[in-house]
Amino acid sequence: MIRPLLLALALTLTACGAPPASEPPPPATQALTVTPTLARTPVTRTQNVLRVHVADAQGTSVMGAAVAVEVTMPAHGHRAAAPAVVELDDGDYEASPLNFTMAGTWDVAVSVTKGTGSGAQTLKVTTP
Amino acid sequence: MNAWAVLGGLLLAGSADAAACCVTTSQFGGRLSPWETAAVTLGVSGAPTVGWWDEHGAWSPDAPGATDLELRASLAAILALGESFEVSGRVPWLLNRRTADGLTDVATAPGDASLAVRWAPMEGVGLNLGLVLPLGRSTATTRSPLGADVTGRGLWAVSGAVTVEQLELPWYLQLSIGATVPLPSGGQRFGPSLEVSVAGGRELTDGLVVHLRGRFTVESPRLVDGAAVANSDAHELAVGPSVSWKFHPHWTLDAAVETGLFANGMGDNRQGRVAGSTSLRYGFF
Repeated sequence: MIRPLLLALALTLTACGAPPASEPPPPATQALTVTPTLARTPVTRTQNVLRVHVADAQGTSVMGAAVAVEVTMPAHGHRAAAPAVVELDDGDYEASPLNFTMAGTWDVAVSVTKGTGSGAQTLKVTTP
Repeated sequence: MNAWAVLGGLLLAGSADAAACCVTTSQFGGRLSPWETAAVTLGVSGAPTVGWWDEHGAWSPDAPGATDLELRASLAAILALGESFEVSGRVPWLLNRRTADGLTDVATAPGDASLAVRWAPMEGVGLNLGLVLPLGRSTATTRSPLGADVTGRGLWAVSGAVTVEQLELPWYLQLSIGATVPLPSGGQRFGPSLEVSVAGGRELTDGLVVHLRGRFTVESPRLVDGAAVANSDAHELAVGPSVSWKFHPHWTLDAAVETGLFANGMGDNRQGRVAGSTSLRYGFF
């Protein structure tokens, strides 16, 4: 009676698809919290500065992350030159200059990666 | 003077092109007079912005200190292929000057070129097929702070148009309907645009014709990965007078002004410009 049960259990475990020994499980990804803010308001067409704070799920500041900023105008399909990003301290990063090539509504998309962690946030900006 | 002679010069000159950041590069106009074998035109235009329509059609004037001037020089040529076919091409060169917040950005580069074939199945009717060659720099590769180095849309596009002309000397009337279809690029596809224009004119004296033209352009939304981008459709209404002076059997001088109607709803998702252009045309026969 017990032998058939053990056999069935073994078959079930095999069917569940445990990963082969040669393929290690992919590392778990970690969601990072990305908080972009404009350093100066109201926004102008040129020389804006974007501050980005990066934290992990526990709220701990993340340093040494790769931060990329993409500036686009969705309604026109436009793209503006990407600002340079420098790391400040305590999980803070600064992107500048943030220039908008024409008046209108722009998306400032920030994407962050650090090890297995990643996060993204988009800031909508309307320029005069 | 036979009005066909003046019309030939006028239609090649056309109006100033749309802003570089929203290039439409029309190639619907342009034809030879019946006795011409070829024509070459050198044109210059200037088009400053005065404001913009947002994605809901609300008009706003440019902010104080914000300017955007497009200067354009174009070389165009038309060659007859038999009695009813013509091929044409146009190569523009742009110089943009933009200012904002005390910053000045100036750049110059080639713009998007165009090629077209025209077939005239009967007198007064023309069918055009065109191709836009993206020689200009698009916003995707801009490096200058205010985008003054943007001189094209970065897209191949095909176009087709029908033009009907009616002459009742000394008057003429022209109606054009054309569509431009940008080809997909980089995961996105700009919506096709439709342009309808009506032009009328009168010959004042031998070789001197004045014209008035109205143009309505509408563009459907942009697609990214097959999904429409909200509020990315656009339209614009523009009008303007022009004058053509055929001061020599071979030479025609044209001057034109085109302006948007700067009020709410008269445009959508577009910059508003006042464009002035002049061109000198030489016809071979």
